[in-house]
Amino acid sequence: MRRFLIAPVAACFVLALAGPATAQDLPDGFDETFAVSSLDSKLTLGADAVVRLEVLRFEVHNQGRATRTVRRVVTVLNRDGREEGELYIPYDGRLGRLKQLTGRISDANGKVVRKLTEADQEDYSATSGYSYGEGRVRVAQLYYDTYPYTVAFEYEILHDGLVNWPTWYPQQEGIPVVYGRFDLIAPRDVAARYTVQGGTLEPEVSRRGSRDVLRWEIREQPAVELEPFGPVWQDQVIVVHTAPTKFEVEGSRGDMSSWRSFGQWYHALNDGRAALPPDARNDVHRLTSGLSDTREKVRRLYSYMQEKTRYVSIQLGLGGWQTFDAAYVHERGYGDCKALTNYMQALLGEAGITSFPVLIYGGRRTPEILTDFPSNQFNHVILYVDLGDGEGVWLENTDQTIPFGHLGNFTQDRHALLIRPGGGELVRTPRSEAFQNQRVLHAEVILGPSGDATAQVQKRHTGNEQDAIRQQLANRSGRERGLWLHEYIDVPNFEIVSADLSAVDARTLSLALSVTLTLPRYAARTGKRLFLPVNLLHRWTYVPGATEERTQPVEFFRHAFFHVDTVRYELPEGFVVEAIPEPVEIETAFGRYLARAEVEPGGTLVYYREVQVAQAIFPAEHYDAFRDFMRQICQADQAQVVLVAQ
Amino acid sequence: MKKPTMLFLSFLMAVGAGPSYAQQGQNGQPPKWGEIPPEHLQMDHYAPDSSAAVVILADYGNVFFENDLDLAFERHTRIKILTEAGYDWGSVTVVYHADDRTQRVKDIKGRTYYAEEGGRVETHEMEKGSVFDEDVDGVWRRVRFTLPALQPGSVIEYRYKVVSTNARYFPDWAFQKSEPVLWSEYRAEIPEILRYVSVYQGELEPDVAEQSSHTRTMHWTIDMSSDYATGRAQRMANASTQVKSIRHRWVMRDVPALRSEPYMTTPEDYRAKIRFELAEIGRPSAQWVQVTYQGQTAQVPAAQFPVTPVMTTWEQLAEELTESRRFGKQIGRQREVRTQARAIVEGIAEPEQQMQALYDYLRTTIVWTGEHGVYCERDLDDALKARSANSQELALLLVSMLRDVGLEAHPVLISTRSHGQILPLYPLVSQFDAVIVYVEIDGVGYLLDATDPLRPHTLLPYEALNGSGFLVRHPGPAWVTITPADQYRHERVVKAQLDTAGTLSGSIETSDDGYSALANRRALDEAETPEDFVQNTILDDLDGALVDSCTLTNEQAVTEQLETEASFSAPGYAQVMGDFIYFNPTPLGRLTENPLRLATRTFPVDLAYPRQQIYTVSLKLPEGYAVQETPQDVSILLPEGGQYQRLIAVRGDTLVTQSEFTMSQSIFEPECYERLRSFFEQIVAAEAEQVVLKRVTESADTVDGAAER
Repeated sequence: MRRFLIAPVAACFVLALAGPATAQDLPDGFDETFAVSSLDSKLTLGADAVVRLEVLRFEVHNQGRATRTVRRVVTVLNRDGREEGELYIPYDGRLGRLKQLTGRISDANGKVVRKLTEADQEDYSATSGYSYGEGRVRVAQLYYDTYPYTVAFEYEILHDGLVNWPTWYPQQEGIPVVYGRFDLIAPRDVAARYTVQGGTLEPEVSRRGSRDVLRWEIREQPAVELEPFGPVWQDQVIVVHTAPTKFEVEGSRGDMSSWRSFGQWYHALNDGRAALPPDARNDVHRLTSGLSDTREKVRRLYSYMQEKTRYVSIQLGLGGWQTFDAAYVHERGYGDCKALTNYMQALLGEAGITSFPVLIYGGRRTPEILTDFPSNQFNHVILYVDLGDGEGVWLENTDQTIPFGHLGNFTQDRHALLIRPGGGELVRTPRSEAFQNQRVLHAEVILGPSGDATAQVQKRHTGNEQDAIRQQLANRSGRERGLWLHEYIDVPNFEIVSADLSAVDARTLSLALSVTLTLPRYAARTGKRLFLPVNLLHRWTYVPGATEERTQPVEFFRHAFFHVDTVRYELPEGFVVEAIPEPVEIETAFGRYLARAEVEPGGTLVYYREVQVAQAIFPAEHYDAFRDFMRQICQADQAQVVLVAQ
Repeated sequence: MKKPTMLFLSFLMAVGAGPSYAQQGQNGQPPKWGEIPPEHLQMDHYAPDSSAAVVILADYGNVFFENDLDLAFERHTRIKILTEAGYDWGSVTVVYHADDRTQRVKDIKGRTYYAEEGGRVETHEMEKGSVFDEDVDGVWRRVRFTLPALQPGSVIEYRYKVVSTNARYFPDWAFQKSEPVLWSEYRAEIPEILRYVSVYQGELEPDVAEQSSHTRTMHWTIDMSSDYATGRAQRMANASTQVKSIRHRWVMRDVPALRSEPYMTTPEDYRAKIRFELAEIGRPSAQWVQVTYQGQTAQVPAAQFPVTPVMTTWEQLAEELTESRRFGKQIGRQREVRTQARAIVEGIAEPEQQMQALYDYLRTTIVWTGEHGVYCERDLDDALKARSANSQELALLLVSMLRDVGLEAHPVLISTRSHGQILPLYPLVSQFDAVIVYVEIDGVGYLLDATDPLRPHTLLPYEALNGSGFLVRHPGPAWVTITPADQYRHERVVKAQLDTAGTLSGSIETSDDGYSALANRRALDEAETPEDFVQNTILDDLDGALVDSCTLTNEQAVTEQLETEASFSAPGYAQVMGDFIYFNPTPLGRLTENPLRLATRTFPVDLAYPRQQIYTVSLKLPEGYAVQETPQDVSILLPEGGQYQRLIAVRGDTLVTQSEFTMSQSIFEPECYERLRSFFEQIVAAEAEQVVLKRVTESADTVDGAAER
């Protein structure tokens, strides 16, 4: 008889878990009025707002459909926390349906004072400019004027077509959380998978019929602040990643249990789209026939693709996963990352060169992907060309001006998924070293007795050091380039006599620019003296702010680099050097700095400056030493030579 | 007050009865689809403007009325792409009204041409799949398309048609663009029953402006109870008669590019363009109109047709606004607003204080959505409850509350700086894009705008400082001049000492008024701590300065001076080399570069408000050093309204530097640009000058030893 007693109780428990969205079985003693009196003042100390409740429920109905239910309750403690009453829900206008958005405000005692109305909401397209897609955003706003007050939102999204399952971030920057919960309910045959990042958090697992129910809970999480040069947010808080094993989007089915199988799905979806029209095939043969070096062939075809196309984001077609045909891109001359990569692959294929698309997460400061958790952690596609014997070339196909084979810190030095016909394979993109990333300046300055000067400046940027310059200049007209130079040159007063920035259009890894400037009153004149700042164009002025107690590791430079400046000053007749700064040499774990000014026997003043930095992550206690390093550089960069008339 | 150099007003209907003008355009043919002149295909640069990324070869617009008075607008544009920077011109967006379902965009075609070597022309047709029609925000939709196969040297051409059943949506036409235009032509054929007011603006005159009269049979639908302008007829009858229509044609050739420059309001103020507003729906000049209703046909005298004024005078605009449910009818009718207003002023007797209390309540309570316009989107009670409002709702809330407590207040329509100047002669609502408030107490007028929690009632936002505003009062609308009630003003007093290592340490006292106080309160609001604010804003010029302590006064009291007292040290401020110490006697507020970088200017420099900055620096010199050289005193005058003065004196062991910068004017015409630029140039030079100290005791062994004695 006892056995019978246990079974119904268990069933009830499971039912409660997987029940309708509105049923909230919150922890015992949880104050559902959200009155402020039940808040722990220790948790909210110094905070502008506190999350009372952050509940995400993701119920998977089958491989392709799911319902996402979100409930979020935040108490706004003061005026600065007011933006917590703003809710932004991005959703897919085609594969998702947003419904049942409700909201309300309650006062400090938990009494409801206002409900969300139509007038408090807006819904608009999330695309613009060069992009087309189904992305939409719903915005809801609730405000009140007597602090503290509590804002509650609840909504539901029906998903039809699923590749991405939720990644749960229960916490945001600077805001403590009282209670957070994530329920994942999925049929067993979809085989839900998960992994937890940033800490230990085990789910409570139960079963209901043919479905698994997983529940993660967090309680009383104090606020976490981002510190300057610290790790990305994802590496500092608990994050729960989930993914299906089997999934379906617009009729296409896949399996994500391994990188290999996920890659198979992507390959199958995009295979057979490489057919090129005859004129494209002719072009390929015209460009490559007679060449024996494969790398050279790739270079020619890449340049052909760059000249012919431009990037237009068109996130349409199978939830944005399927590429347009190579012929489509050839005819129109544009495409998104998938389509341009597919086109490039097709051109190479026509020349008999094997290449593979590579799914990657592009961004300048991004978290490492979870290599042991096969799932869609990507937002971009590049191409890897196999040259045999372990040699290869990486091609970024969405940038018409990027040098051949160069990736830049948008995609360098990270894991990515290479798609072979047989399936996906994790690879790592190359890292960039200081010697590859150089900025070399040579300048000849002629200084007149009034302090006016003219300068002939030659600069060479290589590797990652040319990216910013090229990206800012490439798509600008001559006039805009001139305006850019005015912004870029960091000298108080100057006129540009002539500038040759044409190297920008050559798409080479080494970018040489030259500029001739007149510098009215470059050296300030006071009485019989001239004050000559010796660092002509590259004075550092940034010193990172003090932090009370540094807790997070620090990464100061996103890529390693090497800068050298040599400036030669022809001094005016009749002046002698009254004072000259001492040489400065700083050697630290972060990098090396060297600056010196000397008068050559012939009377020319030569200034030499060198900075080399490493890309590395340092323990928190290095932060102050780094500030000191930067402060010393800033101070040394201010150095001036004083000349006095005889 | 900025004025366009030329302004035409034409009541298009007024000329209708006159004799027909002969077609004068010799070259009057619109471009033919697909027929690109070889010289345009071959063109690889544009000599008159070497910086052009594209050249608009032809921009041709044609407006005419189809049956049922449907307003049809056809556009045909042809563009030469010279460089990759011009690719943006290959993506086209046509925004149209979606809320009243009166507009459609159709017949979209696009092509890209490229002349290969040898003269063969490669043509790429834009496919249907490249056209996207999207909802923007429920009110607007947009059609977007991207032309294929662009490369430098391509010529693109596209055409589309917008049909609107609402005759109010008569498109504006800009002859001038941000890139040069070879040929811009606008044609409009307007039946006499629709009467538009058109406004031409710009420094350039059209090369052709001609018109002719034609008569044709027109069929349309009528309904006495409906409004033609909105196209929503209820009981339909068919009307037809001979109707006169006027054909207009404007052409501008070789129009130079118009580009934005620093310290200008908006390029729109200077762009050559023509605008239209529907003034009146009249009756045909024919004597009889044939009307068919439910199968019955009758001849009806045209005189029986109504004349519906849509827009006539400022008085009527004021009346319309006053009567509008989305504007004037909101004022004084909302119960919660009234209750709240009375509660706020309870116990306050002085009208000025009542005004300020109401202003402060809205300023601190209602979140401004960042949007601005003329008509309210919701009832004021709802906005008050939502604690969020757009600028017009905030303004009407304030007017309402002021009136509820018995004060005289009116809404004032304005055009923000980025929206451009108002043409005060012509009553068009579309000229305005924001609302502020006028209050009159004992004959003194105040202008208020409560959109910023940090801004006192004495200041208007920068964007509102744009000439004049239309005071909506019925009867008796008026124009009010908007002048900044305060300036950008601050004073800094530094008392510090310099040591032999080059470190400057001491104290600073600051006081900020007007727009300077506003700017600094904003910086303070964004700073993590008051120390950060002092370090990054007040002492921004002192690289590497450390703030030991600081006190702020009137941080919240926005009508008062913002005051700061802080102690700081700045290592490395002076450069110590050998027997010498060199430093700049003006540690703060130095003008290090000329804000006017471009050598020439064709538009006024508009700084928005007057300025005054005063600095007093007392610097105790290190022991053992004597002043060897100081900069000369400087006094620079700009006759148009600027003054700079700097005095340096040594008093015992202290160096005292006083400087004062004043700009009493805020708008400078292009004629004085060179003088203005040189004024700044001289200040930059003066403030770069340095002081030289020299060690007095030749044999001082160590620096520290010298300091200790």
